[in-house]
Amino acid sequence: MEDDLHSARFKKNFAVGLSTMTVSFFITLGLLQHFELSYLYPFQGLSVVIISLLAAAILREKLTPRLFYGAASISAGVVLVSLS
Amino acid sequence: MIQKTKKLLLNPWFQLVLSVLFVTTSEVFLKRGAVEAPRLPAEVNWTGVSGLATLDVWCGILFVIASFISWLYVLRFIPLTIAFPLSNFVHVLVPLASWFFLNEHISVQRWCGIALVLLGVLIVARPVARMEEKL
Repeated sequence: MEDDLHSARFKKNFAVGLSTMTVSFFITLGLLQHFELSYLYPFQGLSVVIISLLAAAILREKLTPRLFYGAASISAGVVLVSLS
Repeated sequence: MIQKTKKLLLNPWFQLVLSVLFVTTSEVFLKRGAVEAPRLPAEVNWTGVSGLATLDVWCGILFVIASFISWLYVLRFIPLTIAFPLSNFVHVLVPLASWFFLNEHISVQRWCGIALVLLGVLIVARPVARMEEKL
């Protein structure tokens, strides 16, 4: 465990994760200046879809039919919200 | 009394509820701060970085940290395959809080969209949670 936490790979991944989270925080803050919270928040559902797709592409996770149905429902929901 | 409070705080299910409430509270604070924040020139405006000048945004950040701490505690005891789907209750709570605290009007169409998002997240949640558990 000690070795894992000090490995260059762990440090790099941790730094990348932390910086992307920071960037995403400030983008959200910027968007909140222009849009209602109840309008913006549903878009976060898309992150679940993107996480699954990236996991399939990068971590070689299997894509299941569930993902397809879920993604379709989330996307339809986001479209409805964006039209409202 | 102190014993009871301590026991409650050590209950992972109570911490899960706290975590969801903290997330909702943080979003309301962030929204309030973002609106109060001075508008910067258009080139840097998209970052919302001026929000850091408001107390509301800092309160929001505190609640983000609090929700993170609760969530980490939850994950020590409750499997992610169960905790993650339950945590998506925020998709209902945040719009409700927007309506109640921020006076946002939420149309029937928007509620339908929110319901579809929630349904979709619940369908996808289990596989996503399982693979995060592996990481």
